[in-house]
Amino acid sequence: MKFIICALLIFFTNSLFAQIVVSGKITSSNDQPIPGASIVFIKQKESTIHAYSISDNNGMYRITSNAAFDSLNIKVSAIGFAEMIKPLTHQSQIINFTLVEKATELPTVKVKSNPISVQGDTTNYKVDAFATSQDRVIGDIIAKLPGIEIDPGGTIKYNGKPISNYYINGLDLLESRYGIANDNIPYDLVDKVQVLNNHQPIKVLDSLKNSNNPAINIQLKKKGMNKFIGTAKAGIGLPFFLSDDAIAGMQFKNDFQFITAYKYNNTGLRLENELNQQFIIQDINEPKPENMKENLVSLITLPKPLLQESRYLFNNNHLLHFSALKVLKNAGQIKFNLGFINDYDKNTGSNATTLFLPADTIKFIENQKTAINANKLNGDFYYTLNKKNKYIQNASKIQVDFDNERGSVENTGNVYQSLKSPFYEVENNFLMLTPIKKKLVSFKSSTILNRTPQELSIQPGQFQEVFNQSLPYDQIIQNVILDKFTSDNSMSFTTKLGRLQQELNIGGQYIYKQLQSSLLKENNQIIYHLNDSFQNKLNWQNIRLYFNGNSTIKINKKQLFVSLPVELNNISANNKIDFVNRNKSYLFFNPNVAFTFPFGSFFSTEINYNHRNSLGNFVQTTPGFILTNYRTVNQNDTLLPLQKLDNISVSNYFKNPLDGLFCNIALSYSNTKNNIIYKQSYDNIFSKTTAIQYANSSELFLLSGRVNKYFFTSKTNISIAGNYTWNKSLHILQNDFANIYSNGVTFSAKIDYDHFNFMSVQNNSIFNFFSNSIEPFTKSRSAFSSFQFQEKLKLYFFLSKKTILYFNSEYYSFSGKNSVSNNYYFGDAGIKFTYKKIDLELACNNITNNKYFIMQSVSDNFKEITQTQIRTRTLILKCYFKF
Amino acid sequence: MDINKLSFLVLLLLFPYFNINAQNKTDASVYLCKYTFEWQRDTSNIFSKTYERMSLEIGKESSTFYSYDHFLGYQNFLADVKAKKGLDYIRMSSYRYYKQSETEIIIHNFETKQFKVIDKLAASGPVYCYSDSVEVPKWQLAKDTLTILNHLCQMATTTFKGRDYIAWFATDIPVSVGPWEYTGLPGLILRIHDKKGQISFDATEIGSGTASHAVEIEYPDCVHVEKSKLHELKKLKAENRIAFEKMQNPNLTITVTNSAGEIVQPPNKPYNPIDLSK
Repeated sequence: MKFIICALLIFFTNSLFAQIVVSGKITSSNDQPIPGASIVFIKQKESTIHAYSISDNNGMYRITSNAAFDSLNIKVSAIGFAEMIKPLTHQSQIINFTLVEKATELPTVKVKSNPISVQGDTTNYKVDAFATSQDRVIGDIIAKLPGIEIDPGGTIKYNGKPISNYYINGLDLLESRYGIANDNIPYDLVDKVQVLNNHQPIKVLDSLKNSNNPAINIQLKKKGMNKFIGTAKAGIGLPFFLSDDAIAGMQFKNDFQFITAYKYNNTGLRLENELNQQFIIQDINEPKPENMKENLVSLITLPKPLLQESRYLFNNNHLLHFSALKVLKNAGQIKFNLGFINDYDKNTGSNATTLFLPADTIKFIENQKTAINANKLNGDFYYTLNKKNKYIQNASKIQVDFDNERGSVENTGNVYQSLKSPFYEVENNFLMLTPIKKKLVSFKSSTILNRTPQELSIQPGQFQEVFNQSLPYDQIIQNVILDKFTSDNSMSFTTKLGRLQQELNIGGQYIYKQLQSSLLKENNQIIYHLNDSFQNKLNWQNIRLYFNGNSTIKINKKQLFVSLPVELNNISANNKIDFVNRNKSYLFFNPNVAFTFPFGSFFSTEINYNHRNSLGNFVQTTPGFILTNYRTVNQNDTLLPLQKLDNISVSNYFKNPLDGLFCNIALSYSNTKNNIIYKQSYDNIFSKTTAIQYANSSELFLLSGRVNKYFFTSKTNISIAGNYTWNKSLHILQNDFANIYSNGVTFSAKIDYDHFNFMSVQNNSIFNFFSNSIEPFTKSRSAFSSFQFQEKLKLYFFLSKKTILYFNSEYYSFSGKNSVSNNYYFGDAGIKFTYKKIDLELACNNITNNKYFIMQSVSDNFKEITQTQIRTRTLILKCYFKF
Repeated sequence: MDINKLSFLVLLLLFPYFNINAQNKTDASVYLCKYTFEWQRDTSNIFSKTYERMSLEIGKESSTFYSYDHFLGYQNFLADVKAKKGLDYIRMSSYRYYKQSETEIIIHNFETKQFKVIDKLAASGPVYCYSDSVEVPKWQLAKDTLTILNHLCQMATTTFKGRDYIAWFATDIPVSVGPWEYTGLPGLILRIHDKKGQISFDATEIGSGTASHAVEIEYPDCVHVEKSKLHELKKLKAENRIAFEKMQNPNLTITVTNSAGEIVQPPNKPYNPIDLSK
């Protein structure tokens, strides 16, 4: 028995590990040696080569192999000879081959250039392969590329992540305003769109600081380079008289780029999106930027219908912008962006609101007419030096807004509301990185100054019992001026020790804010200043000192990031009305841990935990009344709001661009603890919000996923996305505590089908479900819910190379518990015709001539049913040309 | 001077041509394989990639590797000169070929196991050449397979002349060659790229050789130089074209002016050769 085992062992080890040498000579049938023949060991049922040799000038070969094999063949092949295969026994031996001559013919195979190729971290998309005749600008193509989506606001995402930079031929002309390029560069000038994975835009940080963010590069064709390119559009239409015009010019050189445009339309295209700053991933430790306009008062307006914007927007919109970039002799870059928008929008509709309260339900209807005149001017100036040993960027920005809004609301009586809301801001950001003695040192400085003076006037005066001893009066005017100044300066040191990279960051921030508000009432053309309890004069100073230790460990592409910031906040708040001064210091510890690990070349997982303390907004501490809109007053005499946030998120990504398959799934849970709760009390339509000091928490759970597959042979792009949100928060409604739970589910499926030369199909279906329930009083009252379904189908028929016929159809369906059901169908049709270099388009929108759109929406403790007036049937003739 | 002669001379300065002689062929090509050569010329700038079509002609005794774009450019140039086109026309029509194309021709002699490298670096200078014994990389076979142009390819990895490579060779085409100086696998290399993504050759077309292409390229008068010397010259040409042209032709005066008309010294350009061995 033992003998058998030993024998077996010997047999096995022999067959598994024995090294064998096979040698011999390759000759032709007339006994001439054949040099350069391939002699390979292959498995009998496979074609994978295990070992090989190439015959020398005398036709001799020798293969040494210790591969484990039991059924190998030896194959000999050479140019001009028939190949020969013999089974191989597992022992060293001499095998000679005599090959028979045979003509070698190789069928010619040319590469059908794969529209997607991968080179290291770069994924290239060939634009021509994705373009169809109806496309006009590069944004049309980008939206179709597998793995890429553009959300309605214009942000480009690659496999679920927003892009960090948008380059044109390697130059970042537009920073976050890349909508300008997307909406103006003709697609036929672009050779390919490149996605740069894990892109680190700062060269000094390359190989020092890892980035998980993608960037996009628009690589132009030769014909798109170095010369001036102009495009223009002129459109005219009915009802008299619609107009849609644009003219744009651009030039892209290696050291100079510019792009400029003027656009006008009253056909419902909101041009503002083109100039918007898109979402750019920020460092999680950075506090919220202070460069945002903060509206303290507002007009009551209609909720936006869930429709394509051009169907309901009655606009009159001008846009003018200019952007230029110049590469200097020292390889530095200067950039200049200027943009101006004028928009005059009007809308009409009515809104039925149902408020769910503990004791009763309040219902009211508002018929509204609103006109908004918005003017926005922005200018940016950048200087950037991005070298391997030095990085400097200085960005100066200026923004001026003039917004005037007015409207009328009809409920029990007529109310006229008007709002003046300008905004002024200057901002400067400086960043420098340079290595000093093996340490990378960075200096960062940011200064922001802005002012928001707002004036809301309401006729006739509201809240008579609060403001006018329950007597009617003519007008109430709310004035608010908010001034902010912020200066943030920091310095950081980065060192790399093998796989460990450490960053120490020390800095200080000074924030000064001042809020002044006053209420005026007017009766019989006499203006009265309301007393101190209707005024606010607050000064607020925050000195924030922070120390931040970040460590990153990277082992084979796996990466652990730990950030341990400590910050000391000193706050002094002065009320100049009652002369109460508050001074308080807070020490915050905001740790963040992130773990990124790839599995193989396709999968990667990111886990992130974040604990964050933050100070709430000081404008929520106003002791005096503020009339925020015609039917709401706020009074919040409390301490400063504090927030504690705990968030954990897990994201999984899969991408295989060569197979056109992209998937991502992410889940996130966060718990926010607040020290203040806002009590809402309602008296018919009027509501009052009061801040109360009471510890409470809210929870949020998000789950989202997307699968995108591109089928190369049928040119079909399918993406399916879904997300689920669950939210729980505590409210005080009237005088009762109530937990509001909200659930939302969205599914969408999008198909682009470009298989045939004569047609192209795009279909997009979206399904939404929302439901809210209020505890503790849901037991006696059913939860309220809303269901929405949208189906959008676009059909393009390419009748000839020069003629395109298209149809759009949109279907909307709304229903819900205890509410009305509506179905809407919209149809559009058009024809495009190319004559010489001019494209003509005749479009008829809203063929079914729908006049109103009714939809319902749900949020917190209220439900709204909104009827909006929409554009009736229109007919537009447009003409596009290039120069 | 005849306008054609003038334009010819001016263009020669821009166009280091080479000549593929169809009359003196000694070895007919059996296979013809075309590759796209992607080359990141500046290691610090991922946008500095250039693309070029390369041609590999494989005969029974030797193989020849050269820039197909450069070849086409030269054909185009000759046709234009013959058709008596104007100087500006010729410059524009040739521009897309000559701008940055590779001038090196590598002839692999299977019997002597030698590379003969011929390089007409500058039109105004001599044709340089050197011979070098074929250095066969030590390949590690992997089990991964990939189908390229209908040929089943197997993966192999190696470190060769200072770079780490991943190669895919066709198991059914029994020639032990590939693009550039990559050899030694039991099948034709159809794709090879370095792990940093700076160099890659991807086959775009493969078929039997046609009679119109000849493998042997004749430069009987080429100037024999040391390999290292030619590499130095190539480095100089890439980094400082003006200094290089002056060296090739000392009588030449070239000035570079900026937009303000001032004479400036252009900065050195980066150079990232395929061969990183010293």
